[in-house]
Amino acid sequence: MNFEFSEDQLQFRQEIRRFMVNEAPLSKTRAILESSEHLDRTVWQSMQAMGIQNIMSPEQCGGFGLGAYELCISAEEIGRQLAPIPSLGCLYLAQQLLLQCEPSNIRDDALSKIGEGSIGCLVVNIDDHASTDIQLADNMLTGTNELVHNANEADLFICHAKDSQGNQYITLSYRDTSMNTRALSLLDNSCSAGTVTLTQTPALILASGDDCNKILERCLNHAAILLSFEQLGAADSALEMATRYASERSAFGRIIGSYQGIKHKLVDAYTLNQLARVHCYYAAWAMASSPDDVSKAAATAIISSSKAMSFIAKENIQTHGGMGYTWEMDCHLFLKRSRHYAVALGPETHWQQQLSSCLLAHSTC
Amino acid sequence: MDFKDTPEEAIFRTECAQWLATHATPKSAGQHQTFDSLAERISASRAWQATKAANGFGAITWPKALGGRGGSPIQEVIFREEEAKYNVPASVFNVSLGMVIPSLLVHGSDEVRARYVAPALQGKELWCQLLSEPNAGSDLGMIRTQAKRCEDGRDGWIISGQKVWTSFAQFAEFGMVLTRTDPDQAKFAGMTSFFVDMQTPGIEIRPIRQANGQEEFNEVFFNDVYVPDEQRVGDIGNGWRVTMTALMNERLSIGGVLPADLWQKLARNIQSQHRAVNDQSILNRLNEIYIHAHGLWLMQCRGLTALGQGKEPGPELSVAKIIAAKTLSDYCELMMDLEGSKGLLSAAEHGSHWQLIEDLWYGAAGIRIAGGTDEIVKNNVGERVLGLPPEPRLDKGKTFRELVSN
Repeated sequence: MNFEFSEDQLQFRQEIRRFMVNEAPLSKTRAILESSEHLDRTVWQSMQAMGIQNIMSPEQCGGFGLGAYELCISAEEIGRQLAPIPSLGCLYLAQQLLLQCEPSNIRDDALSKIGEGSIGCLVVNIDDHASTDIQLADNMLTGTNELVHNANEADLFICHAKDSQGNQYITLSYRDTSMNTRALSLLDNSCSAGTVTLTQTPALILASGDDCNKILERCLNHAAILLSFEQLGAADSALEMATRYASERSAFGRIIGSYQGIKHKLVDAYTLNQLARVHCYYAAWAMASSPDDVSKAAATAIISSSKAMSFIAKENIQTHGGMGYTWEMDCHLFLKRSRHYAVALGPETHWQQQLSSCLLAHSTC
Repeated sequence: MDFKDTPEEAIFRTECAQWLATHATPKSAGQHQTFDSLAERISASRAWQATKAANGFGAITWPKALGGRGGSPIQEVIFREEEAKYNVPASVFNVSLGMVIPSLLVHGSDEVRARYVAPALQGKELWCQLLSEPNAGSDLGMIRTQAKRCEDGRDGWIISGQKVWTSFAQFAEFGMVLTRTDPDQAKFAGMTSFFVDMQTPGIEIRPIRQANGQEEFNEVFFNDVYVPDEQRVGDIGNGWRVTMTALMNERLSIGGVLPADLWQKLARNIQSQHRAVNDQSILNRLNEIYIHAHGLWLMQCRGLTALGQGKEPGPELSVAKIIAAKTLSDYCELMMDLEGSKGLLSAAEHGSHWQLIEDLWYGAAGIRIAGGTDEIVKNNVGERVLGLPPEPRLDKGKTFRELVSN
């Protein structure tokens, strides 16, 4: 039995944690929230210097060619800091999609660009990845997608498109004047999403035909696993914040953490976090070495981590009382982020359906 | 990461499987051994324990000198996993071999160890643990059962009082009893442990009828029971430590929290019903049971990984009991709901396959209380894992006598 990160991976975690704590304190997320920007490019650039964008990229693209575990660990540490970076759009969606495509010069160039600090995004219909409103004709893309993670800052666009016969394609385009992106106002403006409108945008073909659905499905499952790790880190961070406050604040002559009303609630949060943690680890294992289990594991990871994060994000505010509801305290950063995480890859109902389909399919084996 | 045995673990697993194959019959899917009476279950469990002990599987982690195998905790878990595939009686020796005897090994004299360890291991002598009382449950330090020095020249003690919730006391040959020897000390300081022959004159055992109709628990009355001083375990006033040694050993209850195929059976039942398969609210309940059951298994895998590396399992397992009790209850209730209004029928109507559901459903309500209520577990996790301050205590700095006089 070996269900734990290795010593090397735990060492790696310590390094990434130190790095993220230094580079991306919560004050940076707060600063983005108060600006018109949706990401902090200096954090993104120092992450590039650290090599985080290159963890899973193959060596011919300048990457380290490491497995899923190191990226999962990084995602958790990104989440602990609620880092205002395009992790979802670029690392979990665009890069994961590229890694699912057959190697080619087109694909490898794109991975290299991301490794060098460029931002990628994935233009896909999150709620129904079988359909797309982007049309491909004569290697040109035209159409609109209303919600694309990190689109407004993206330099490269991976698109799911169909031609007039209904054949599917996954394409790559670099930003040019034929594209229009509009940043959307979000519940959590330390994240970023935008509307993408393409008009005769030149496109390079990454994949075509029936492969496209498989690639998209695997990519979205991997993105769910990585986002689950990010949520797990955020949920632990929020629990630590609530625990710290509950250990300091007094009321009626007692530290409030000594009241069962507070203590038991925080233990409930701890329990949800621990459940989410083992499901995330299992999903990392599936992503690294058991593709047949990915669909079930991804759904389980995101359902359990969303539940944990949503619970503690709210109870962290509640534990802080009136102060928790102020702009000055950081509690609201976690609350906003919890809602973003919970629906960014489709609502819980979508993942519940995916999980129950897997369970019914596996019930006889 | 992987879920495979190491080569050494695989060899041990094969050894267990081969031995079990020649000494027991494999379970068919979902089979659950039932007995007509508790007495029958106890004697079947004694016989199975004797067979295991005779073949070196009686106590995997005990040293060989004591009749154990000298194995690791992970080997203990491997044996249990393999054993669970066979139609063998559920052990009634967890208290004897997992708690009382380990405490005797630490605190008992050489003579006591030489006399009592082997028969317990061989299933000949069953032990019970006489701790809780009507007024001392979660707050075990408030026990009132008294042990007083004999004043008639005999070198012994007279025990009087009442114990409760004592599992299998009516079948046990011996018991370990926690008593109050000095009421003028703080509640945890003035206690002393003894072991007693359950046939000793003055011990009266009354089975308690439980919510599920069974009678595993007992009230045990001590009516001026004479116990020689040589049956004292540990020093006078050291009873709390003796008791804690026993309870600490409970950590090996890791393993076998829930039947592994729990959610699969449920999924098959759902699949056989057109209406249920198309009802996402039913499917969401299946999902939640899977998330909890599989999550518990994974938490256990993490614990086993730590054990395999010679480390202590992490604190996350301390919440396992809370999750397990809820999951069992949810599982049984969904199984019942799938039967429609026939869900109200007992196993007598449904057939013997339903007995497990019925037992688990009743059992879940008890698991929330046994070995520390959900609320006590949450206090412990909040204080020891999260580091939150304890509740202010009204019993600090007071003697036991002062506490009971209030």
